[in-house]
Amino acid sequence: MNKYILIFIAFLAIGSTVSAQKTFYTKSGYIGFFSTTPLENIEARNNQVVSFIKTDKGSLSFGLLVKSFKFKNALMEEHFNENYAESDKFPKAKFKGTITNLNEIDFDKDGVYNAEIHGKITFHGVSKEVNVKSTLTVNENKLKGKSTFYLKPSDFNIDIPSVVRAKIAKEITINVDIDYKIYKK
Amino acid sequence: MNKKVKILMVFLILGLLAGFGAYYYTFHKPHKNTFNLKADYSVKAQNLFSNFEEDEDKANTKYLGKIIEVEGKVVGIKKFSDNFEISLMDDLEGVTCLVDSNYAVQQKAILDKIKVDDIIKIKGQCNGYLMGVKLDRCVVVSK
Repeated sequence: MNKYILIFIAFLAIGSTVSAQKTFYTKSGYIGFFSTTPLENIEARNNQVVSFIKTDKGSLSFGLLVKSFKFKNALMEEHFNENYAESDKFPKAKFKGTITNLNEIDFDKDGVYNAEIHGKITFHGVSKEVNVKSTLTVNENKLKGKSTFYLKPSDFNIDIPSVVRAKIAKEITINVDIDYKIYKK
Repeated sequence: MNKKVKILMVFLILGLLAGFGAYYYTFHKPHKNTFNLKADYSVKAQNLFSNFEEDEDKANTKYLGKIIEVEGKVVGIKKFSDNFEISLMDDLEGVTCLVDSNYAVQQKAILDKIKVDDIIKIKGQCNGYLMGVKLDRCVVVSK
């Protein structure tokens, strides 16, 4: 009988080490976007991005409030909110995805890893699947995530009037820079 | 040149200047300064949070983009790249007030004095609800 109990305990121990799952999070991550044309550069910064990474399945989620995007130029910010992103109607943007090369990343070992992420971005009420490359830096229970990718306003049902079309890039550069902390309950 | 033409020229130049001024102002108008804005609502952090928790759509209609003065207990202060982030009520799901760097510079003296457990009044623009209520462009009203 004792033997069985021991085996049972051994299984429990193995089980718990195998599924040593970590959750990383932040609620003050950074996402910015940049549009550059010969006529005008447009930049907006959002420092209130919420994000979670669960290491067991490599699942990843991002959420942000559209009104938290800040522009240097007040008029651009107004136009972005009222005409393009319609932030009163669609206050949030989100991303849900997974790391597709999870086997190449060891969240318990310090280092820099290239992560490939597949998922779905929802913005302006439209969802779109994307593949994004990113760099993850693991350093003593801290995790830094960085990525740059490109999105087209037209993919998100954003109509840009012909008068300003020359001033807004066809592809907008998105920069992601997140410092994650380990999540403790 | 006769007098009429001269007067006409003066008006034309004035008109052009005014036009250019209006154009310049429209495209380069400054951001609204939270210091000078009157709060649309003045609420306790707890009430603001429960308004959003109970009915987010309704709270969005009421508060989104508005200037809100919130009173609450400080539970966390964080500094990152010259921005100050003050959490009221609850560190994870409370009211998060971002004092953007340009406002932080102007209020350095008062920000340095704020400690956890202080009751403060702070006003800023409400951006919505995502792991708590988010305000930014905040200024500290009283400590």
